[in-house]
Amino acid sequence: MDHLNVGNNAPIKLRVSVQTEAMAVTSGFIYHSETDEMPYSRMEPFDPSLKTGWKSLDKGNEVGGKVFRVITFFTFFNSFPNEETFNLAVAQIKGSYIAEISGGNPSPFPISFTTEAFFTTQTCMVESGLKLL
Amino acid sequence: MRVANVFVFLLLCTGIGYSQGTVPNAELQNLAPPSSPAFVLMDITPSNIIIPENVQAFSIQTINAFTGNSEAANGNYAVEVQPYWYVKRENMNFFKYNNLTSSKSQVSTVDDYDGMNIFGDIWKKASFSLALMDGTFEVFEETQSFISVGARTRLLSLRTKKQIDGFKEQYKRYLQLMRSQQVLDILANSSLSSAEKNEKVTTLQEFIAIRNDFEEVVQSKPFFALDVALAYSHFLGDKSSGFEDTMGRFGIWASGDLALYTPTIGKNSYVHFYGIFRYLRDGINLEENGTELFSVDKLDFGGKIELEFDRLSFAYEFIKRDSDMDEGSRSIGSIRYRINDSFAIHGGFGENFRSEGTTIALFGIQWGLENNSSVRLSPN
Repeated sequence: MDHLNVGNNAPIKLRVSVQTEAMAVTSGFIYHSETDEMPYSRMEPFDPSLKTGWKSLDKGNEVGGKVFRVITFFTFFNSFPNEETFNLAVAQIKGSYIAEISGGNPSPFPISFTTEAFFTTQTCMVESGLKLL
Repeated sequence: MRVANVFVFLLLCTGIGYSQGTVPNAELQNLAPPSSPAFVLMDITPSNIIIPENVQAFSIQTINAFTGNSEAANGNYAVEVQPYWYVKRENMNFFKYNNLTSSKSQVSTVDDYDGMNIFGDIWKKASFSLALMDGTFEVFEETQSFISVGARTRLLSLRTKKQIDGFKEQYKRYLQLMRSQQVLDILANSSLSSAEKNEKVTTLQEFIAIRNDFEEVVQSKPFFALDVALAYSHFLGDKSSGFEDTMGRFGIWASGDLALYTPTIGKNSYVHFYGIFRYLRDGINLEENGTELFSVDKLDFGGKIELEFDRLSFAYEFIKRDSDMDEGSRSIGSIRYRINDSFAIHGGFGENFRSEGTTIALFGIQWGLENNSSVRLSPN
């Protein structure tokens, strides 16, 4: 898992942008440790196409020493007649998705992500994990 | 081996290249009839008045045409590509893709969307096609080959205020669900893989219900759509019959679709009223000596009515051709049935131009290439 030195800085903020035909909803979760199954703090899920600005983690409190996970869930409501076209739409997500943290060192810090797409449900998930030191 | 057979082999190879897969598989995956302008130009499609709705980055189409005067022409193949899907999109989101616009400079909520870009489909639905056809085309005694190129797009697309409001309403329901405790508990659970999270979310009863309603709104047909197309075909010539290669046919046309939603008949039922206007520079006309072709200008205009009941649709079209030559008209009834989500058949039956009262039958399928599919092209 990647890490970022945020120290005692607050607030630490998240910004997500993506260019896609799908409906996107981003959620952010903060855990006490990497092994925690459930978070102690959640960000209000948002649509990155409408909420384009920075959003504070844990309501602006210090988040040093925690684990931050970001999940963006994509649903395609325009049905694709074949997987070829669907894969091209997913490639657009992979090529345009940017999640970044503001307030650490360096700042802003782009978070690496993994993408998994599901043709049968015409959905896609982009997940990121980051240790905030 | 006919030129067409070589051509289809190349098409399949090209398609496999596009699919980027390691195993050359193909699956019949069609929601629409063969409709590329390269085909329509030559009057061999089951319907000449076509307003396709499906999006398909790359497709292969084939048509069999049987007439009373000529042998079965089974060497008709086309590829059609929508470049939109192969080009990186800038400033794209769900609303823009569905042509919603806002009069506000800064959009922060879904309610800020208050209009529609009626020209928003021009680039998204632009497609280019290439076809190779063998046939007598009611002119030649022997089967001859033509190569065609074509392009089409949707010039205008109009949705009703009710349709636009439907987008907003379903968006709010969807966002509310994705913010709910049950969805967040799934997404936040770090012990679940992405696939497990996806399965748990997409199998929630609320998700399925909202998704179905949302898809119904998004995939509802525009109240009015106007498609435009142009195509050019080239006669490849036949030295054994004394023909040099030359221009075959050039055409440019517009098709309008007025779609009336009829929910009292069925959930996905529409009554369509279509109109078409087409200009042709037709070089497929034989001089009396039987070895030379000549060109004439022609105008086609006509209409079509279609009853669409979810999987099944019936249509009748009539097109009058205005030219110095007496070519009659095209009067064809057609039927389309979608057997399942991956396969549909489309047939036409009636009289075509130049058929001189002879009944013809046209049958077509279209499929896209993809990975992980059921039909193996090269099983080694």
